[in-house]
Amino acid sequence: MTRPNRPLRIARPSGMRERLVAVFMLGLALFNPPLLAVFGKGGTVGGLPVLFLYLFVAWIGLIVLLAAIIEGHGEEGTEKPDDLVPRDGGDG
Amino acid sequence: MLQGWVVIGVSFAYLCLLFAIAYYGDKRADQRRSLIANPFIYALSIAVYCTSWTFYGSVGRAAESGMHFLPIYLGPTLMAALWWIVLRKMVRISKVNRITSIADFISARYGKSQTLGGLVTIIAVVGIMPYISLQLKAISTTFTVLLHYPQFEVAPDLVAVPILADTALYVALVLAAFSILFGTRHIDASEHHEGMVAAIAFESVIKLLAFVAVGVFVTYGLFGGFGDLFTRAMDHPDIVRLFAVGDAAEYGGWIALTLLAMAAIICLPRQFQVSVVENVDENHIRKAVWLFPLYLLVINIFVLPIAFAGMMLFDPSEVNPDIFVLALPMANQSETLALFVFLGGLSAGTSMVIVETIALSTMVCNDLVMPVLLRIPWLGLQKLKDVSKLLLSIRRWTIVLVVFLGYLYVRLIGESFALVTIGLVSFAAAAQFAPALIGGIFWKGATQRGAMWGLSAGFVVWLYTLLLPSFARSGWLPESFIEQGLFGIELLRPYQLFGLTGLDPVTHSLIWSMMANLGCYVMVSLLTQHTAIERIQAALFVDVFRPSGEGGGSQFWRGTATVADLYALVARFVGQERAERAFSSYSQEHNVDLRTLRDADAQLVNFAERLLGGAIGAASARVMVASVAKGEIVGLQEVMEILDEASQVIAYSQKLEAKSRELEAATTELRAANERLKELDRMKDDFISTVTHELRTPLTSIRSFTEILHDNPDLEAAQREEFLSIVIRESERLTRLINQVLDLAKMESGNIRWSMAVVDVRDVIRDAVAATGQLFKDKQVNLKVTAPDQPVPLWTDGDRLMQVVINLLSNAVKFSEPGTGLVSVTLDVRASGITVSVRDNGPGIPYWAQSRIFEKFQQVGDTMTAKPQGTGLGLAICKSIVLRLGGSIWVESEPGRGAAFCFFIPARPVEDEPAEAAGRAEPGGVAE
Repeated sequence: MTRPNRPLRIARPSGMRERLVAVFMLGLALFNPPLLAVFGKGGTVGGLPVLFLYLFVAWIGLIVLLAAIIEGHGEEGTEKPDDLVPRDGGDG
Repeated sequence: MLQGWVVIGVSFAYLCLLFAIAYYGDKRADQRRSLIANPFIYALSIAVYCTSWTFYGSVGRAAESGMHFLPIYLGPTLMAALWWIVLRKMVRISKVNRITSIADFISARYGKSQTLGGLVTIIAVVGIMPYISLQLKAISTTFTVLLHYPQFEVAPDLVAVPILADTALYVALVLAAFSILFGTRHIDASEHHEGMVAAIAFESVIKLLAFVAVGVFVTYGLFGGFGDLFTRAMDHPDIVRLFAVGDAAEYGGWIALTLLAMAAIICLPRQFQVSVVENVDENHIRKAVWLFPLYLLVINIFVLPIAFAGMMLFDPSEVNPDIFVLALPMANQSETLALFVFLGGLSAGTSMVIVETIALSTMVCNDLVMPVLLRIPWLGLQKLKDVSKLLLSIRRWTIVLVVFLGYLYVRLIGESFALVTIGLVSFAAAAQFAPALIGGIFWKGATQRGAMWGLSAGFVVWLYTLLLPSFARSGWLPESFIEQGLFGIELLRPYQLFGLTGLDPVTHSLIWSMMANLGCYVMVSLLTQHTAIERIQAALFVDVFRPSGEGGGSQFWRGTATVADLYALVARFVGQERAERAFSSYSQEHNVDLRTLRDADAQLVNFAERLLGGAIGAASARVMVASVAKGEIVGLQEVMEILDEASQVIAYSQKLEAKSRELEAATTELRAANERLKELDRMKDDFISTVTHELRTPLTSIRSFTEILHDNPDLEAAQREEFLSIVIRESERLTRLINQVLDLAKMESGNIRWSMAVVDVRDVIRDAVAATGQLFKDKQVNLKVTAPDQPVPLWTDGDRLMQVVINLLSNAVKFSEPGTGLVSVTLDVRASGITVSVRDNGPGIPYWAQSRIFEKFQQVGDTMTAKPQGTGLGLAICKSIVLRLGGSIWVESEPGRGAAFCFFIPARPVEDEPAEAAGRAEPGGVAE
């Protein structure tokens, strides 16, 4: 008897939309005070300005996350059940 | 030295190459082999966001305030994360409704309002004017600088140059010409400009390569890489200052810029054009979500190094930081690179101007000029045979007008502002669309008047706090307007409105205009009502992803029109050939033969309206279709009904479900109650049969003995005596039985009267013993009573308590052996109450019977062999009484070693009703 050695997935993994919104939130946190203030005091590390280094590394990180989420969901998905469920936050 | 003709020749060659690409792109589109049907082209075309501002202005901004050039690119990165949710919805809505511009979008969303479309157009034209001027300024300045290669000076003051010698004028002319060539070659119902998009994508590649080239040249050619550059920059106190964000107000500016850029990336007319209108496949958005931010990142990596290098190598009074990008290669004798950089800047500027003017010309034509012209009867437009030529010329003139408005602004403002500052003015204007646009696709309740008020209020505040002061600074309005406010009122100073100080002008303007815009939008929307058409459009936009959203609202149309009329109408606006193609594809799709059909159904009317909408805007299309179609859209009441039908059905089925759940619950309860009733019924039957059985036994013996006496009159006296005594005994037993049954029935139905009083329990026991004394004597059983010496007062019903003790005593004597039997009664007093136990030394009670012995008619012993010794009700009555008095009764017994029946009555206050206080004993509450 061979069985796939990974835990059974019971809950539906959260969808692309939720993950994208989460990355948006993360970006808001990274690019605004107070995190920005932590790195925005000036000074250098390894010859590069801390602020410059921080912003670009965070930015690259965000882009990698976005790419991973988008490409991880494959090409399908435009007309998935996802779309048929009305979920417009602004209703009413 | 670069000759002027070289620069001009290369520039023209470049523009011609662009045009060739566009031409090829259009041709491929006509052959249905689209050049732009891939996500990379789509992402690159969105990069039209990066204009001369990015190419030249970012460095200038960085030289002035360090990293503060970056929020303009971080904002779009954040927004890109939401594109799959926001942008995709806008794309879908635009496809379904054939939206061709942002003005069209907003006007269609709020009930196809022409006024609203016009307002949006005016805001866009006025707001974008500085932005176009920025491009003209950048191109003409860099051109001038390049001509003086390798000596570069501060660019000549534009205002001082006579108009005909002004480079900016010729730049404006050339750009206008190219925009006309790109964007208005023909009227297309779908408003796709595939060729233009291909050219824009190409330009995005060029400007990126050029900027990265100069970045690499500066960082690795002039310096030894990032580390070297930054290390050397640290020696300059001016530059080290730029390593930090700054004080608290600058953080405010940072946040404001981020928000502004987030709004701009979807609200700028050209961004709307490339990302929404020109989108050919929703799936392209997916890749753009990360490709576009990546593009922004790459084009920004070298901004800070170039800015720092320029600050180190140039005298700040000689070279404007805005042209560092060009000046650095020039100062180092790299002719080719300088020319390439110029081309990069040119591509950044031209791409923006081309897309922006095309977008604006569509808006001005469809939402401003056409609605007005169509309303002027003596122009006869309603009857004109072919309007498409008119449309084209309107658009061409609009492009010229828009470019020259930008040129005018350059002449007026001149050198007063840096590139970025000019651009931010436009951003703040475009941001005014954000509430109406985003609110419109997620909030059904937003109304037309809310959008009108919000847009107007935001626009007016923007005008007052950003645009007018910029004129004042350049000397076209009195300077006192900025210093002392309108009419000298301090509170109305445009840069410190209502005394809000400490912010830069853009942040300040953004705060006030957004407050006015959002405030009016929400408040007025909440206070006003939808009209029927608003309600329809709101539902179509917000619910575009619902399956029924594709219907395009045809179910709301109740009008009639002939096919011929519709066809003629469409042909007039989009041309014969295109109308023919559209109608035949419609008839194929829907499987109808339009040639034999006379009256158009609602769906066809709607199709024609959308087709027209692509050419002249939703609002005008509605007016035109209404001119040939009789009938109106259905009334508000019916619209509500249609819209709410689905939700009503859902609500109804939910109600049904709830009802059936309730029913089920009720059924379960009923079934349980029924079971209980059946059980009670069975118990009643059992009781009756047991009682009758118990009654029959004595009756039978009475009857048989009386029969014997009756039939045998000559019976012996002794025998007669004996028989009669049996009859009497059995009659007594019968009476007792009947009494007890009555007692029990009364007690169970609660009809019995309880006479509560304080009694001495010792007296009760003494009386009970006296009452049963004869039984003990007759059976020769000894009785022993153990009770305290002091009185034992208890609030209870003395007679009932005595009945219990009597029952227990007579029970005990029944099961005791004559002669050797011993029954002992013990009264035990505690604070919580009294316990009375009656112990005998009889045969005891088997374990299995101990739990049932207090039930009715349960007699221990084999009823078949042994004559029952009692009624079987005595203990049941005892139990009832004790329970009513709030106590408990139990038996302790081991077979063969006698049995002890005990009961406990709790002590309780005098006032308590026994029924209510059952089981709630209160220690120490004995009343005297």
